[in-house]
Amino acid sequence: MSETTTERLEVPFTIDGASYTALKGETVLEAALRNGYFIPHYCWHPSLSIAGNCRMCLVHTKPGPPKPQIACNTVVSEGMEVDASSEKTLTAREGILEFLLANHPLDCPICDQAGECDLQQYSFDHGRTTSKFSEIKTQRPRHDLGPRIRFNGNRCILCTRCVRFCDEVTGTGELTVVNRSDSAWIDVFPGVPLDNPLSGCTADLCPVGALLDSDWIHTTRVWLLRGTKSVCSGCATGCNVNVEAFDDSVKRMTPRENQPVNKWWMCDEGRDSHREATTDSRLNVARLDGQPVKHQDALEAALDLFSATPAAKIAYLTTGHATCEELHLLETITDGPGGVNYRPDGGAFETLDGFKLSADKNPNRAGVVAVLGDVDAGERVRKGIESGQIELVVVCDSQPGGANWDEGLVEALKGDVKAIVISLEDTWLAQTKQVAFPGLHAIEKDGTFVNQNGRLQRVRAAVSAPGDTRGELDVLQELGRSAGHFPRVLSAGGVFRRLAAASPDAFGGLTYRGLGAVGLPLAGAADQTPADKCQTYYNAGPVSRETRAQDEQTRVAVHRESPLGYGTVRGNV
Amino acid sequence: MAGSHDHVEEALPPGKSFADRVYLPAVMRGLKLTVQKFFGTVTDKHATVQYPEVGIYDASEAERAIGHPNPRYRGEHILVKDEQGREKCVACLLCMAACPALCIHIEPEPTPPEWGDRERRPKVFEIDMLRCIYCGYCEEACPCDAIRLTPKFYTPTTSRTERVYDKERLLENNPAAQIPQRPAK
Ligand code: SF4
Ligand code: SF4
Ligand code: SF4
Ligand code: SF4
Ligand code: FES
Repeated sequence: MSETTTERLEVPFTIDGASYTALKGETVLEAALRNGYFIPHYCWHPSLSIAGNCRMCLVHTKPGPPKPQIACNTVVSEGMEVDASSEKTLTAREGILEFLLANHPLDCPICDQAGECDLQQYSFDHGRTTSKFSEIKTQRPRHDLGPRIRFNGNRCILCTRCVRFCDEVTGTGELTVVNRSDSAWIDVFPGVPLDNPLSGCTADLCPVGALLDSDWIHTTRVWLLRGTKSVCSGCATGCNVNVEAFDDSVKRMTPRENQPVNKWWMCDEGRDSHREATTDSRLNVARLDGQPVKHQDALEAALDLFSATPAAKIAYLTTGHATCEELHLLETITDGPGGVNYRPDGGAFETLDGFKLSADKNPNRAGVVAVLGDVDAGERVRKGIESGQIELVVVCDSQPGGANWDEGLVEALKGDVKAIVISLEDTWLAQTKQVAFPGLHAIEKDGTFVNQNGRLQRVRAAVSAPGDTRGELDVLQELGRSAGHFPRVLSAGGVFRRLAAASPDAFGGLTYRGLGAVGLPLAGAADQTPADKCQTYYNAGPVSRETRAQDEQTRVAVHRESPLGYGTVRGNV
Repeated sequence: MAGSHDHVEEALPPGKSFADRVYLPAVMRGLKLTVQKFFGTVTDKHATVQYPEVGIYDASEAERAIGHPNPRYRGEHILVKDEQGREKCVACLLCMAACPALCIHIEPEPTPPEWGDRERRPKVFEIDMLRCIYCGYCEEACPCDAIRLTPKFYTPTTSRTERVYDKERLLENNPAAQIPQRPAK
């Protein structure tokens, strides 16, 4: 992958008569995919070594032997004529599919891969409708390989993508092929479960339903899911993800390709991060002196409190989970000091291909530095409160589990100082201070995060917020508006425009539109990859997942515009 | 479409005889049937049933009833049970995908371990009969023959919510049960 540089010689060749150029040393499959010509394949993946065992990519080449060859392991030679769609090639492909399906259970109705299964897709495109195989199908085991991966041996086509992933990407080598021929299956070594931090990626890599993520298995069907291109809020790596939701609830998070950030991968912790938004400890109602009230009542009280206090006597506290927009608003509407709390470090991991899972579990630590500059953990706020200079603190705490403020600060906050709290969790601050508003989780809000390498990326709301939660941006802007900072309440994009105008050094020239799907580096960032170099020709996840997503877009646009969506209107019809 | 009306001639009534042209014999034939049926009512040979007081699935009544529904009539759904009385549905959601009215709502769940023969079943299975257009696509889409449309057409309820059928109701949705009780005098 990485050597697709300009120095490599270009080799002209043809596929089905159309001319293309390959880079020297490139295989037929690679060159075809890079040029946008699709040759079906299972076992080949750009990040893995070539195994050549699925035989799905058969093509005929001239010069070459009279029998078909695998495109994934045939290097393009000058003037090579590749025949990828003649009768002869299609017959070979059909034959391969017949072999693959000979022992396949065909249990698509209960298989969670159905809808994004490459075996289904290619059978539909190239397969036969009948099978000559009348013998009894072999039975292979069905069990959990690790805490989150469920294996169904009968569905496995033995492409060994999962095995190579564990050997070549994570380097943990848990998986292996046991036995031979039609009684072979994938298994772990006894007592060594598949529990590396990236184990969920094996399910993404598996082109069929043999490896599935037991976290979301049997909960929905993939064709119902609507993906939102967002960024994981689990750590400072900032993996690009699709937050896939149905019925306004997130069902799973899958990686999106972004080479400098997360390649094709994401970690298991990140896959679970959407669960932080559905905990019981979440604050989902506004509070006035600890009592649940309507949002509007709380807002009026907060506005009174805010306008009764001079700006210089207002401090703010926030966390490494606040978006750049929220940080900018906090800084704008207060004149007192600020403090930021960070989650403690967690486990780090680096794959052999350079994907770094950061130990820093705060998605926007770099953003805090870019927007606020030099802030401490609340030391100055504490001093201000103790000396009586600070009378009101605006607390904006979107950290899952609640921020863990320093002891001294906690003591100071427990005193007479007033506070307007916007909190994801129902923390002691939200329960005891004057006004509290529920905050949003990253899967519910719009904004931007800056990852560990200085890439500014967009977070997009995938589901709606619970109850009448308005979120940080809305509340902070209402406060700022009452003090005359802004004429009106803006969307996240509008706030970002203000931010870009206010700090041109870091954010100058950046817009939401420009950030697109893969983000842009801030000035002076470590990762300076331009947007058009972030994605290769190969997506994360099964090939047909991407196709399905595109089909779904079209389908939705054409005739699924029902305001009610699928299903019954529950309760109140 | 260029304005030819030649076919109008052929669309006239076929009869050309004198009797056909004076119409009276045909009118008499019609009246004869009316009178016959009229006396049939008096002598207990009804052409119709006293629906809904008399159900059309009442075997003795149904035989005589003229308008009883064809067995292929598409009415309310039933969820089919297997030999052990469990739902046959595996919650594949294909009916939900096929439904043009978007009125099926299913939430799958894994089966209890003792089932053994299959992995998933519906936790929630709801059909909004108000939105359903009784097209039968769900029946056609089902790979397990787990959902069928029955000839049950007796549907009035006193609230809209009752028209959203849940899994239990669909499993017990027996077409024979559509004979309403005769109101007590
Ligand atoms: S792996 Fe694919 S083809 Fe096999 S049962 Fe699952 S969806 Fe169907
Ligand atoms: S489990 Fe999936 S990825 Fe692994 S060998 Fe089988 S089909 Fe390939
Ligand atoms: S009969 Fe048609 S409209 Fe009614 S539930 Fe089935 S598919 Fe949907
Ligand atoms: S199509 Fe059949 S098996 Fe699938 S969910 Fe519907 S009723 Fe159940
Ligand atoms: S992709 Fe070429 S053999 Fe599998």
